[in-house]
This record gives sequence, C-alpha cells and structure tokens, in this order.
Amino acid sequence: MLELRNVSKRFTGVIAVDQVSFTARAGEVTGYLGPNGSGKSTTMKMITGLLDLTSGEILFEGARIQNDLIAYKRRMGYVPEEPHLYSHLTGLEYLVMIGQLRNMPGKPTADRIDGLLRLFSLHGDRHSPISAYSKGMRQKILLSAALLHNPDLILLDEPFSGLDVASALVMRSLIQELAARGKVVLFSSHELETVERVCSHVVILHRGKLVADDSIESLRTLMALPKLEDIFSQLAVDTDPAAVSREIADLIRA
Amino acid sequence: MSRQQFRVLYREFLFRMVDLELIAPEGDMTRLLGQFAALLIFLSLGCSLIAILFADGRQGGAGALMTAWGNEHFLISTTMLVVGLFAVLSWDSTFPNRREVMVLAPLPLRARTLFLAKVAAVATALSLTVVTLHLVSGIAWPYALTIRADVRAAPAPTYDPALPPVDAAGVQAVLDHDLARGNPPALALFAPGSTGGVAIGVLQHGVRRVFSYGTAKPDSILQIGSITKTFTGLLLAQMVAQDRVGWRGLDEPVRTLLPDGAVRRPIGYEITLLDLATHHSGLPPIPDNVSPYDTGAGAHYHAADLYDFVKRHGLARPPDVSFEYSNLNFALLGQALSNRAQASYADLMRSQITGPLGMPDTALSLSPEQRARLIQGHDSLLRPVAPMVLDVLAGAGALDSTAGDMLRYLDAQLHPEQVAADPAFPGSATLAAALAQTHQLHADAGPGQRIALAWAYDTQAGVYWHNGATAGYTAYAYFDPRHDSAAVVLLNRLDAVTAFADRLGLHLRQRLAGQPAISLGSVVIPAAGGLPGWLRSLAAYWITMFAAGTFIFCCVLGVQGLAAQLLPRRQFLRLSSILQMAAFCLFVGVYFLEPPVIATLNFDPDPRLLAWLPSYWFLGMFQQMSGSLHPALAPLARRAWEALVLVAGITAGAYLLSYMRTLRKIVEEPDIVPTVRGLHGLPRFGNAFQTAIAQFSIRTLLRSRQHRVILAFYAGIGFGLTILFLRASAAGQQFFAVSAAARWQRASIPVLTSSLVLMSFWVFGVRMVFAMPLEIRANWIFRTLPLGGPSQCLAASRRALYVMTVAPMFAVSGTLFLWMWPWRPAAIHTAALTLLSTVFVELSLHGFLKLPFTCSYQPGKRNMHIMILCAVLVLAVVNSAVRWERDSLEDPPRTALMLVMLAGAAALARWRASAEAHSELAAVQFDDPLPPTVFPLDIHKDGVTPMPAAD
Repeated sequence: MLELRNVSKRFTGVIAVDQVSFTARAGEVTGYLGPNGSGKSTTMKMITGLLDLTSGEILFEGARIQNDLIAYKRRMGYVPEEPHLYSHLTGLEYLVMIGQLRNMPGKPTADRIDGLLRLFSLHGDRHSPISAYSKGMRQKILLSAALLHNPDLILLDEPFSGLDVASALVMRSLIQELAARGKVVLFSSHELETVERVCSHVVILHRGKLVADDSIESLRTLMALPKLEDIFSQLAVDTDPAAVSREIADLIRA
Repeated sequence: MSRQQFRVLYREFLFRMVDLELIAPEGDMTRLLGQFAALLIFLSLGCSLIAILFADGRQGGAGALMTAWGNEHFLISTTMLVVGLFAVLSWDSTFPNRREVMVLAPLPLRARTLFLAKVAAVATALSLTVVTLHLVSGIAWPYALTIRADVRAAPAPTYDPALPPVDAAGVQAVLDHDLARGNPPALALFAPGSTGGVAIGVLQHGVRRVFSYGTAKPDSILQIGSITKTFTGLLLAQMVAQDRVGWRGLDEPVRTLLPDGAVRRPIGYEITLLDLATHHSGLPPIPDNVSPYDTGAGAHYHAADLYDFVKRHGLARPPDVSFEYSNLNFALLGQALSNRAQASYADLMRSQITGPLGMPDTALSLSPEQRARLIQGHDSLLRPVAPMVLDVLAGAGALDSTAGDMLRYLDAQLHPEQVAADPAFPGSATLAAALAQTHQLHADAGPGQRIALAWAYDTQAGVYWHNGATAGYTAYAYFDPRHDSAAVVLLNRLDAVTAFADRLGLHLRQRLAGQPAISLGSVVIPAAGGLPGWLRSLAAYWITMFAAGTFIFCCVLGVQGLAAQLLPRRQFLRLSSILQMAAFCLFVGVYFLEPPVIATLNFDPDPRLLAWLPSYWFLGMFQQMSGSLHPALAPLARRAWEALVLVAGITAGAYLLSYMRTLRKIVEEPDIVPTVRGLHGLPRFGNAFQTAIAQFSIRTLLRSRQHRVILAFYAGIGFGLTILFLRASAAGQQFFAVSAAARWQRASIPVLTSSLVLMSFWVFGVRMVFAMPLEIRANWIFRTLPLGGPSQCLAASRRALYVMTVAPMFAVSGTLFLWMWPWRPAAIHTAALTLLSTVFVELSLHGFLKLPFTCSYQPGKRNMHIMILCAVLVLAVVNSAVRWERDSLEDPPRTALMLVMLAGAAALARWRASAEAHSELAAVQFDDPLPPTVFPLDIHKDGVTPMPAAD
C-alpha cells in the first residue's frame, strides 16, 4: 500500500502540491488525474524519490520511503511522462544496463528482456539505436524497463502516450492484470475514458490540492454525473471550453 | 527574401556555428564564444611578443631572411590550424540538421534565404576567428617585418648551365666566372674589406691546383672539422695493417683497446672498431656528459670523462643496429687507438699519416709560424670566434690543414698504390694497403649512400666525400676514382643556413664532370621600408591570413559538400563522423610535422615537398604581395592563388547543391546515429553495477560525436606536444631505423617525456568528457534506480575511468616500449606510467561524486584555457622528473624506490578520493551546483549596511 500524508511541495514562491493525502492499495489501479499544472507530475516525482518533499510523508507498506530509499526503489517501477532515454544505446543495451544497475542475475534477466522485447514486438529492432525508434517504441522500452524487475509498486505517468491501438489495448489489459496480481498501480493519465475503464479508484488534483479521492462508482453516485469526464470537468476545469474555443477563433480571425 | 527573416536566421546560425552547447558555460553560447576569443587574443599577444623580439634582433643576411620566413610560415600555419580546428568544431553546424529543418521547414521561408543566412554566418564566423587571432599580431608583425626589411641575398636554388668538362688547370677561370654570377654574386662574400676567405684545392689526373678568394691565401690554414674522421679511419686501417689492434682486426672489440676495468664485457654483441668507424655502434651522437651547446666544452672534456660515460653506458652493440652519424664513435676510436699505441693522437697522426704523406700543415697543434697562417674563423653572424680545441674528442674533428695538404691526402686516396714507403716513418710501409682498406664499403648509410671507413660514398655519382664544421669554419672534400679527380673547399665561416662550402664542393665536382652545376650566386630579395612598406606589409599580411583561412575552411566544407553530394545520406552521416576525426588529426599532424623552411630550401633546388604543403603556398603569396618574393617561392605563390580559386569554386558548387539536397533528405530520411554493431559483447568490468557504468561510458564515448571531438582536442594537444618533443630531440631523425638499445640510449628522455605528456592529456581529457552529460534529461533513470551510495558510484566511475585510461595506456605503452626498447626499461617505464596514470585518475576523481555523462555541466567554472596554459608551464617540471626517472631506470635500488613512491602516491590519492565519498555529507550529484550568487553589499556612504526588513 502506498500512502501519502499531507504531502506538500513548495518551489520558490509557488506551492505546487498542497497537503495532498491519499492511499493507493494493492490489487487495485489508482487513477491520478488533474489538469496541466495541477501538481500531478510533481507528486509523481516525489513518489519516485526524484524530488524531496517540503512537508508531509510518503509511506510504502507502512514505512517512510525516505527511511530506506534504496530498498524502496528496488520495489518500484516507473514510467515517466516524457520518454527521455539514452538514444545512443540500442533497446537491448538499454534494458541490459537497467538489469545490471538493478543488480539482477545475468541469464534470467537476459531471458526476461528477450521475452519482453518479443511480447512488445521490439525484438526485430533490439539492435537499432533508440534514436531510430518511434515514440511508441520508446514507450514500450520504458514499460519494459519499469517492469523488468517485477516491481510491487508501479507508477505510470501517461503510459499510453504514442502507443498504437493494439499496443494500447495490451497495455490496458496489462495494467489490470498487474493489479489483479496484487501490485500497487498508480496510473496518471489525461485519457479519462481509459482511466474510467481501467481504474477502480481515482484521485483528482486541482491547483495542487486534492479535490476527489474515491472510487469512480462512488463519485458518479455522489455527484450524480454519468461519466468521469463530467465529474472531472466539474471538479478540475475552471473554464468553459466552448467559450474559450470561440474566443480563440475570434482572436485569430482578427 | 525578407530582410527580417535573413537577419533572424543569420543571428541564430552565427551563435550556433560552434555546436558545443554541451560545454557552453551555463548553456550560454555568448560566454563560450567570448572565452574562445580571449584564448585567441592571448595567442595573438604571444605572437606579438615574438614580433618584438624579431624586430630587436641582430641577425643579418640570409639568416635573418630565413628567420623572417620561419616566422611568417609559423603565423600562416597557425592560422590554418586554428581555422581548421574551428571548421572541425563547426562540422555539424555548416549543414542543416534535423532540428533546424523540422522547426524551419513548416515556416514560409525560401530555401535561398536559409542558404544565404547560413553562408553569411559561416563567413562572419571565419572572419571573426581570423581577426581575433591576429588582433594584435596583425599589426605587430607587419611592423616588425618592415623594421627589419632590408635588401637581402639568399641562395638561388637554380643550376648554372652545363659546360664541357673543365680540367684542374682551367677550373679557377670557370669558378671566377661562376662566382661572379647571381645578384649579388657569391664573390661578394670575398670582396676586399670583407672577412670571408676560402681556400680551394682541385686535383685531376695528377694535376693539382690550389687557389683562394678573400682573406684566405693558398697556404692558409683552416680547421677541417669532421673530415678529421677520415684520418681517424685511416689510422685504424694502419694499425690493423700493422697487427696492432688484435687478431680480429677491424672486428676487434673496442673494449680490448681501453684500459683494464674501464668497462665491463657486455653480454651479447660488443661494439667493434669497425662499428665505430662506420657509425654502426648504436652509440649516441655525443656523450651525455658533454653539453652540445657549449662550443668550448671539447677542450675540457678529457679521457676520464669519456671513460666515465663508457662505464655507465656500456659497450654492448644492439643486434639490429643501423647507421647513425656520431661524433662519439670517432672520439672513442681515436682514444682507443692512441691508448693501444701508447702515444697521443697527435703523435700517431704525425707518425702514421701526415708524416709519410708529406702534410706538414695538417696537425692538431700548430707552430707559431703555422698559427700565423691560420685565418680567423667566423660564426654564422660573421663574428670572429676562437678556433675549436678538442682534447679526447680529437678523433672526431680536431685537425687543421691547408688546401695543399688536403690535396696530397686526396691524391693518396685516389692512388694508394703510388704511396711510397718512407724510411723516416716506419708506419709508411703499410699506408698504401691501409688507404685501400679505407675505401672498402661496409654498410648502408642512408638513401643512396654507403659508408667505408669514415668516408661516405655516393652510389649514384661514385664519389667518396666528407664534410666538416667547427664553430668558425666549414669544409668539404671529395675524391672521384672514376674520373680521377678530387677537390677540397676550406671556408672560414660557420654557415649552416646556406652551406656554401658543400655547395661549392658540389659545384666543382659538377664542373669537372661537365654537368649542370648548382648555382653559387644569390638572388636579391627586395624589401620596402618606411610607411609605404608597412602599409603594403599590413595589407599583404591580412589578405594572406584571410586567404589561408578561407582556403582551409573551404577545403573542409568542400569535402563535406562533395561527400554529401556523392554519397547516400545514411552513408554520408556515417562517413561524416570519420571525416571529422580524420580532418582533426590531419590538421594537428601536418602542423607539427611539416618541415621548417630552412631545412627544405637549403639544399633542395626543387622543393617538391613544399609544393604539397598549402601553408608554404600562402608563404609565397604573402611574399609576393609584400614585394619580397624569393624566386623559389614564386611557383608556390601561383599555386596558392590557383588553389584558392579552385577550392572556393568547387566548395561553392558542392555546398550549394548538397545544402539543398540535405534539406530534402533530412525530411525524407531519419538521421542515423553511428553504427552500433560490434559493441554487443563488451566484457564485464567488475560487479554488475560497475559493468553497467563502464559499458555505458564506453558506448557513450564511442557514439557521441561531441564528446569524441572534445576528447580529440585534449588528445590532439598531447599528440602535438609529443611530436614537438620528439622532433626537438637531437636524435629525432631516423629514430625508427635503429635498434632497440640505440633508441633507448638516444631518445629515451624525449620519448619518456612524450609518453608522460600524452598519458596526462588522455587521462584528464577522458575525465573532462566524463563530466559532460549526454541527454541530460535521460538521467532520470539513474535517479530512480537503487544505485547505492556515493562510494558505490565513485567505485563505478573509477572503474570506468580505469577501463578507458589506465588499461589502454598499459596495453599501448607496454607494447610500444617493448618494441622500441630493451625489455627491462620498457617494463619498468610501463609500470611507472601505469602507476602514475593511476595517481592522475585518483586525483581527477577528487570531488567527482557523479556517474559519467549523467550530471549537468558548467564548464565556465573550469577555465579550460587557463588549465591548458598551466599544463604547458608544468612541462618544465615534467622534464626534470623524467630525467630523474631515466637515471632511476638504470639503477635497481632507485627503480624500486621510484615504483614504491608512485604506488604510495596512488594509494594516498585513492584514499583521499574514497574518504570524500564515504563522508556523511556526500551525495551522488546529477546537477552541477550553481556558482554562488553575488550579492551587492549595498554599502552606503556612511558605511552602514541597512538591515533587511523582517518578513
């Protein structure tokens, strides 16, 4: 179980995340939603240990992650929002390096990498440099790297970005399968339709503050809205999309 | 074309000409360019200091001319190097890259606008480079050259027309005519009132003629320098003929002729008398306990000093020894023979050679009457100098003689059978046989040359010859058995620049043989002084520097353009990386290896080598425009103009076509990074973590062009300095043609220094590029993985640095030194170098709590150019350290001490680096800390600093 207690992050003069608390449980997929600039990625970075907290604490299975960050990272897999990779390495070299850095045994890891590359349809391109990969292929490499060590906590920041339809369907199914096998999955995405299908529990952030933390079903009932998109719009969208659209069209015509 | 579009693109392209954002201080290209400019201006100031020294110099005549040429060539070749390196650094910026195309292509821009903006940016960057480099020197040098402008004479590298063969009786008349040729003629050297004097002896078919010019008289005595070696060789043949050296004759080890206990018998081959007399001993040119720069040192170098050297050096002959001219060979031979004969070298010479041959004026010490006939010698600046005196080194060059005496000597060489025994000199009985013995050819002595006992033999001309030089005299002698002729030239001037004695001797031989004769005259190099001269020199200087820079830049651009035009884009991208490195190596290599003007114009009337070196073309161009063109450089000046037009034309066409093609191809095809095949099977380098980091480092360095170029920059400086050291060493020539032991003896100091310098630059170069990130935003992966603490990261970085510095250094130096030197010094020096590189690696890891290529970088803090200058200053200390190492390598206890000290230093440095990583405050860095912000003190007039208001 991943638990955030009153987590805040303050950059110079700006509060990015303000007193956020929620829990992501094993066996379920927790959707983490919020508009651009809501503090979603900042929270993700604090959960991965990339950013220090200004206040509050993050616990994984009851222990503060900062107490033993190395042990925590051993059990965590992370897919970042942007597919930044060492593009001069090949896909295979990158995954082998990750395996070595995680101190995984050589032969079983090589077999696992081989299997992942085959299942993600990357085996034929494993010796090509990542710079020659499409965005979807890079995303698959990121996913492979995140899952290579069979983590207990999986943090997915926009994992569907760039994936083709077939791969996205596999990915959707994979997330549910991993949760079903008892892993904690925190899933951040702007694709509300996917979130609605995959997640059993959502956390919505707006301007750094938590505005919803409940199951989708409860939220629907509570807010008397049929779709997650409607709930999200009501909780986290300040502007009227139609009005803004009209204003933009008027501006460029002038 | 929109002016605004052009202006915006031009500015964007100009600031991205040097595609090194990686090393831009805080990503600020303006600051990086400012640093480059500061470095170039510093260089310019350095060159200006040389100009001031040159302007204040006192050298005159051809020497001053050669110095001016040398400096002009240095400035031109430095310009070409700097512009060439700039072209290499801006390699990726001259063509549009994917980022530019993808950003600019959707915009309504004409391809013409893009191209012209790029060309304008390239031209501006090139101009700024040249202007900055010559900001100060571009004014100082034209001024200095104008100050020293003087109408000067220089050797004319031409041939006088062939005449029918002249005989000895008629040679003076022909020579009178030939010496009067040229403007000014060579005869001017010997005009009334001048100090020059030359005595000439010619012998043909038994007819002897002796004549002289200038201050010399036919019976004048002059020093003959190294021609003395032929006398020492004859002395050896005499004593062999008389069975006085041992039963093995010429093959007798020289050790047996030295005092008992002077030197231990070596294991293996021993140096024999024949080895000494044919320059095949492997001994260095001079003993290491005599200064080559002290002209008076020979008088104070006695037998004890020579024996001391021999005892230390030993007399083992390397098995694969080859020809190497050495004064030490004949000094040792002369001393050994006199030791065996229990007589002084002078007495032996008199009793065995000069006495029987009737050469009363050929001696080591002169009588008062003879001393009166010894004409004053002069150095190259025409300053009178005292005759050179040699003690134990006499056998290498101590004799004085006259042209008449030398003709008797050469006559005996031509007709040994006519040398009669003289009862007054018992040794004369064997002289005929000994003379014949000295003509037997024993070994090769360079291209087209073989060697007898001291005499060199020109295999094409069939002529035996030798020359000589002392502090104030030069001499040349030859005999031609085929044409039964001989000649000797004795000149009272040390003349290394024009080598007049050698040219005159060659001229005489060619006249006697009826061949075209090398010109003795000079050509006048005009020069203009005053304000008009300075203005002309100024214009010539700047036009030449711009032309040279444009030429080299166009060459790089043209090669790129042609490759882009001719090759498919994928292949071009792959080849481009190789071409870039090749161009870098070529520029650095040519800069340091091209021959100096003085060595190439001296004797070679057809400077074919110069015709292939562009820097000399532009030297010709400069002289042509400044109005001081030497005829030998006229074809080079023409070639410079032709090459400039040709290269500019080809480049313009190729660049234009390939630019447009590149724009299209970039959109059509993705960029291809260098091939990655062959790197799948990298070995393990320790535990899994260390292996991952080492393999990541190797792959990054091999595949990142920017990092490779930066490393090549460091390695290039080290390589250049190495070549400089090797070239500056007296034993630089034919270094690889001699045996391992000989190489160890003669060039160990420069090679030791070079290996140290190269190693230092390589270690610090690799360390520097380790600190520069690649794809900094991809380092999140290292930050989210369970990497362990700073000590583990330090261990992994250390392992990677060892793999890329110490390991290849050990392998390369071990192989190279074992090939070059005997195994013992090679093994010890390799061990020492490895330990020292370990020390450097550990020192460089101090404060490096990072993983290679993963931390952001702010090089502005490093002041790279200051570090380079400091490194140059440290070289002086390195030289002393290397001398200490050289001495240690021959002394086992000192060797052990040295290795223990180095191992201790390595351990200490390692402990220091590790201690820092183990401290509680240590953390792995992925962001280079920003420099401290400067806060204004805000001190008021009354000195009271206002307290900040409470929040």
